Amino acid sequence: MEGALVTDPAKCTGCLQCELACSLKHEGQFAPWLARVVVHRTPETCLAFPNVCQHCEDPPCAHACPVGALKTSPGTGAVYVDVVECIGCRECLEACSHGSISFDSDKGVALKCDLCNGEPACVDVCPTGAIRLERYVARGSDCLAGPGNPDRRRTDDE
Amino acid sequence: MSSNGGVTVLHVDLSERSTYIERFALPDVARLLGGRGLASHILFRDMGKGVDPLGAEAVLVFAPGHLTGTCAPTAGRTTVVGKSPATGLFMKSSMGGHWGAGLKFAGYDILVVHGAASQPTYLLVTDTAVQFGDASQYWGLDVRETSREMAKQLAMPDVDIACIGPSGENKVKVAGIMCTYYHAAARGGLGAAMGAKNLKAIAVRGRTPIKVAEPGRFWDVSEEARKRIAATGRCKFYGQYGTAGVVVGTNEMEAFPVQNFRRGYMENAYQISGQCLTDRGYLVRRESCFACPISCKRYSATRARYSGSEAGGPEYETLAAFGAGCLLEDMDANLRANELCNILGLDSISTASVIQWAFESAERGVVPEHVDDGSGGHVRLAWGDADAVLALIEMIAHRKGFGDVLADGVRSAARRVGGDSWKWAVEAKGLEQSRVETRMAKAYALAFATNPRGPDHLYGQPMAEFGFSPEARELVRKLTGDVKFANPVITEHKPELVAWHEECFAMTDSLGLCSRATLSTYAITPGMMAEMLSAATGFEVDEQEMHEAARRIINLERAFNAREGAGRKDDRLPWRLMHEELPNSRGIKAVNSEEELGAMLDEYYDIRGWDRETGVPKASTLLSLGLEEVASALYSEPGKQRM
Repeated sequence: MEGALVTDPAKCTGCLQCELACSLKHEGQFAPWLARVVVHRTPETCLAFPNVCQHCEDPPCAHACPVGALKTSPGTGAVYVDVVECIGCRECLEACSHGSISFDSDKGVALKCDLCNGEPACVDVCPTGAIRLERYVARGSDCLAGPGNPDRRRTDDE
Repeated sequence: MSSNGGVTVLHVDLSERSTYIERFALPDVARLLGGRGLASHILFRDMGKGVDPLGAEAVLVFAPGHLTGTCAPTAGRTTVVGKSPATGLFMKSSMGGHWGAGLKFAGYDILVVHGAASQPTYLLVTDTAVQFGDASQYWGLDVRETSREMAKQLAMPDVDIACIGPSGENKVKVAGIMCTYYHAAARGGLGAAMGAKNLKAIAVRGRTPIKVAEPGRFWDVSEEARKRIAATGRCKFYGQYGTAGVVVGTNEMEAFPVQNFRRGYMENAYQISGQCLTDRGYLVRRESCFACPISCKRYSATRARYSGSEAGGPEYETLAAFGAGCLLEDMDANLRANELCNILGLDSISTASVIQWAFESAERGVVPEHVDDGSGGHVRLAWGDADAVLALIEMIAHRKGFGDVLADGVRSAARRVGGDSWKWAVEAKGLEQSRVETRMAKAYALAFATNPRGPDHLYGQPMAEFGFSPEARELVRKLTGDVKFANPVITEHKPELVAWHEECFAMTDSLGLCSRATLSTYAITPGMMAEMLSAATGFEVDEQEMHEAARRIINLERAFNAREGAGRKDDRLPWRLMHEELPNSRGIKAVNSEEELGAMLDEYYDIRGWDRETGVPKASTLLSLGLEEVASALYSEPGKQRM
């Protein structure tokens, strides 16, 4: 499987089911601040939009990591943090232009999406389809899957 | 919930500026289901008979549900429990938003506020400290300004704030408590109780994780609930059109309260419907409360008039109250009225009710057509006059001019004005009725009469009697043995329906779920709630035990009122709905009567184990539920035994 998480902010209602599912799956508890998917909410205007890792083919976070703790999974194509090797320097947070990496200050390690071995919990629970997993049928160039890119052939996960 | 499944209660004393912690162990949670159940227990225990709801001795309990903070779908709600300044009786008022989860992540399950501060004060509750802050800089600000300014001053962009607007500060008895900007614990004037304590706001923020006893099992039942919600047509409907989506259907049934409950139908209901909101571009966004996949909450903006007016909502109740009740047949004006109620911190149901009463009183010559606006001018009381409605909302919030007469609610206003005006004061127990036509819905009539807070839909919401959906019809069949009893205009089997719905509502509130999921759509069942609570706490509770716990809660709340002297005599409906027939084209004699209501009450009291004559829980009933302390509080005086 090779694919990417695609978000549609217009559909996000800010229910935080994705953060709750993510933190339960990865941390065994409900702690939205430890989720790998982050929903930015502006309660005054009821704005909400999810931020998820794009799993770049040529990931700046991995380049920035001084110890090579950011690796690409051969099965899913997910860029993940090897927490054994992570030294908590936060260089990857700086390097990610999407702001998709956060930090667990208790454990002193970077937190990022690992695509849940190809079955992302956030996609599973999202009630509106604001986060979807789009799998590539054929690999194209370095651009991301998305409705705006007609060159990329893709199928929806569902 | 605490990591052991128990409950941590933070008590705050504003007079002493002190705090203390109280803990409840798992068996107590199972007994009272946490949340609202424990809150009602604390209220009964800590606020004795005859305490002034606006005095320093009054107790106000903020109780997120026991599952709030988890992924249980819709479990983000908070119930505020106290003594209502409007009714002088028990009040629970529930709000959505994200505040309850914020309190949980700060490490507390329930917050109890005692005493009164000498100066305007805010509370900041985090997982490292509880602070009493000076709120003088926020006093007088509206809800939106307060929330915005506090987040800025505290330098906490993700803080969640529950606060009152100017109406609560002015002890207006139709003032609510607002959280996450636009979510309201509106009913019963609890905003005035908060204002009387000089408590402007409670800000919460934390990083304390919540653990459940059996994560895999909890995930499974949450997933089942999510799938049920996704597959339930009524849930999709509320997501699509919001609660105001039911305006059109209610109107077509001729059960839509128009012009202070004088009619059940209006020509232009579409103009004030959720469909109009959605299709005509007023809807800016759909929003969810914490962990809710239904997302019935709206964020809307005006289009043609009142430029720049935008806010969360409006809900069915608001559009029905202003749009149909006051004859404001213009979406833009309704959106402005909704925004004003939100930011001034007013209950839109009660506010629109007193305005309707004022319009009718002027029409019938009991009050002058032109009344003092408190700013040197006058307001003309006339049905459908948007400028008058909007001016009156502000006058009520600030107790200006004639607004001061209306600010204590419709019962008080009718007493002050006199004449026959009490006949069109659509209230019981001192609470203005919500926008349900009980002359066309007999389970609702009974539920509104027995509701300890007054005649509204958020204590037992027996929507199944309409048989709107397959889920509703199945429930009626299960409870009564025949789907033919899903008929709103008959009284047969309605007491059983009401009892079940009240119990389901008590579980729903206590766990922090939303009645939108458990009652009006029946997507989440009591059995699923039992499974959620068991998986979360590791303490096995089955569906029957959930019902028993719910009965315990209902008896506690009933006992609070009984201790204040309330009983059967107070289980009544507004005069208009008992004596004036609702015109309709179906040839139905649509009115409630003493005879009909009395027969349903007898049957209902029998089901509950309450005395038929007094409507008070029998000592034997309280003892069978293990409520010894309640029994002794009600029956300790000699000669009062009624086993």
